[in-house]
Amino acid sequence: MTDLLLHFLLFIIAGSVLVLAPMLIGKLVRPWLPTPEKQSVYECGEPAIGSSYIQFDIRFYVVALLFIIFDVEVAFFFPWATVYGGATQLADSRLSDVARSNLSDKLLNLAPGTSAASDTVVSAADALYLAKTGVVDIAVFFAFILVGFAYVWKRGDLDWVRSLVSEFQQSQALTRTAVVADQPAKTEMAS
Amino acid sequence: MSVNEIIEHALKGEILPRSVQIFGPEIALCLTILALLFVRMFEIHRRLPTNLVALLGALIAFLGVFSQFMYVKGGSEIPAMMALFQAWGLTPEGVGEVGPYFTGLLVHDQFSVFFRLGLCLFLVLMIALTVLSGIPDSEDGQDFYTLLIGSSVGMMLACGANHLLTLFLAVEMMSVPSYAMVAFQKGRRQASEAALKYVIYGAGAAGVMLYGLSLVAGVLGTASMPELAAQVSTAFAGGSFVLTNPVAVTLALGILMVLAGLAFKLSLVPFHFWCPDAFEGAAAEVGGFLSVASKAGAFALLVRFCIALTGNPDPSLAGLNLSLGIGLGVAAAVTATFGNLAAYSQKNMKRLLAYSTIAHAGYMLMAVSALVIIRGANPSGVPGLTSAGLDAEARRCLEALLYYLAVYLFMNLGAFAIVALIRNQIFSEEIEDYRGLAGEAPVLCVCMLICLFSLVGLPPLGGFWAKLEIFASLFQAGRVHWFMWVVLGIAAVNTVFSLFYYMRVLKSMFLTERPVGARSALVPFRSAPGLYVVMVSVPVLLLGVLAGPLSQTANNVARILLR
Repeated sequence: MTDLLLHFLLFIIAGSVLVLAPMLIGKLVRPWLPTPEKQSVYECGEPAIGSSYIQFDIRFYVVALLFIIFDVEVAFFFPWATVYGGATQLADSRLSDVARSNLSDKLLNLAPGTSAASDTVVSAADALYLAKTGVVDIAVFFAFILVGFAYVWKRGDLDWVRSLVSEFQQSQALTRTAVVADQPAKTEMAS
Repeated sequence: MSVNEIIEHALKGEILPRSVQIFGPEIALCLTILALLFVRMFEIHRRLPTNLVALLGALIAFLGVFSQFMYVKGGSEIPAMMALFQAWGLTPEGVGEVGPYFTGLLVHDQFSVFFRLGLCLFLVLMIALTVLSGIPDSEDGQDFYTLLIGSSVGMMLACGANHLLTLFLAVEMMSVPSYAMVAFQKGRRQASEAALKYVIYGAGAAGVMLYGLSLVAGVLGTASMPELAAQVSTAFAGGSFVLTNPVAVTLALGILMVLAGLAFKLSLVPFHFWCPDAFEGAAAEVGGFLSVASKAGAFALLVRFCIALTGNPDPSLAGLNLSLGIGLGVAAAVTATFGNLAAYSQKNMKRLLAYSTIAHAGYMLMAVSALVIIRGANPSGVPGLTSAGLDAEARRCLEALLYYLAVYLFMNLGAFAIVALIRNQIFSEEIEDYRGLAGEAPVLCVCMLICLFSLVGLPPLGGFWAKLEIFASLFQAGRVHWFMWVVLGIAAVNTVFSLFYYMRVLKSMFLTERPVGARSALVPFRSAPGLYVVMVSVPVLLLGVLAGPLSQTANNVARILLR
């Protein structure tokens, strides 16, 4: 415990020194010749426009939220993929006994060599059944995600210029119903 | 267990078909959500309104749970129910057999079926109310019903939680949609504010609860709830539950944190701050949903958690049981008192009902604390009570809670429904604006009278028997520990106090003249809203006059849960 603490302290001290020392040396050694260009905020070489404390467009948040939802759901694929991959490998009936017991260890997360010694070797038929069940499971899961995705898409939540699209559709509908022949400029502007 | 055995047993064998059979109603609700999205996606919601799709799905799920309830209660030999049993494919080794399913994550027993039945019934009534009151509109209906049904599925999971992870998942699944439902009236500033407060509170409470769960599971070495009690006595083998023992401190901290998360859902003091704001900002329908359904789900979780912890009467653990029971008792007394006192000065009807909800959560929590106290009692230490007598008293505590929840479903839904229906007429939820409404909408006002009197607990309404049963169980628990008599006294004083603020609403409705120029609220008896409120209020009366069948059923449910 004290050993660990000592290591930790040493790490913190060394880290701080390694950061602070170059800064101190720089401060002592460098020339001080300020110009307006040097004093300005650095923004990838571009001239900075205005303050960075501004309100972001709410559409960023909508897209970010949708991204997170689908991203998290797709994260559930990873544990599935490891099991499914192992199961499909094991479903091959031409595997040698050694390879089969090694793959079984991997699939069941056992220490190497356990399956060879005990009866935890997965047979080809069982692995095939496991793989098929996995396909059905993930198909149902993915179908649910896709329905949600299709709904969001259809509702227009993915349209970046959503309000303009609906305004355009409304103006189209208005011009169609009003039958104004003498205002061609308006439809042109809208399109 | 080898992979072959798992496949034979879990996938091909008994576990999966049995689980799917028991889970049928929840699956039906999930498919309803999909159907709602499809209806909107293919733009057929103008011909096939989304509220009808939701109502149909909820009815199907209700029938599913109802058939399970009858099957579990009366066996497969009820002639009138045969068609329903066959339609849902119920079998003696599936629904007929009580026990865990989905490999022990959920449990199927009378308790969970009773709660799921209540929740499905409430969902049907809730959707019927939204059809009548017109919130949400037809363009946004699918969003609202998706949230409503999704939250209900979470509550149904909560009723059968058998694992600490399921407990957490259920709490989150019922909370997250309700945040969005509170904010559903997008244009209203107040709704957004209420939802933001609710979300921040909810996120904090969920984090605390998850940390508590990890402590409990870490100390006890298991997250499976049926094993918790045995693990508690193993962890304290030789020692006793005192706060000088570091393991006991960690466990107590974990339990406290889990209870804090549940207390947030139950809006117990001091975790109640979100409740009045959320209820005032949200539509009255959403308020009704939050005050009944999410309370029921959270109480199911609380009872399961407390029973899991106090499972075995190991004498060395008397300290745990007693401090848990007295802690819940203190929280209950404070909550009921605070709710009733704060309700006095309210001018907005929804805020008043929010504080009344807090007070009622306090009353119901008293039953749970009595249950914990009685279950933890040492039979030899209580004069005049045998071990069998203690068991019977524990059953009565749980029976009281179940009866209270059943009556509460109708009376609180009735009150919120009437608030929503009056709002649709006069565009106001202020008590001030209810003056003289009895002359214009007599049916709404009379039903409001029934619901509010039942909330007070006046005979011959359902609320009276519910309160009486809770008071009786508190009295019996007082024989184990005198503190329960203090709680009983506080509860009795509270009941008298609560009469005044409910009466203020009724006085405004019945005894004052309608001001000149006020918006008229003509709701005749022979209209859909009139019939709806009568339909919700009649059970309140019936449960007051005929208390027998429901309390019998509740007692039976309790007997099997506490076995």
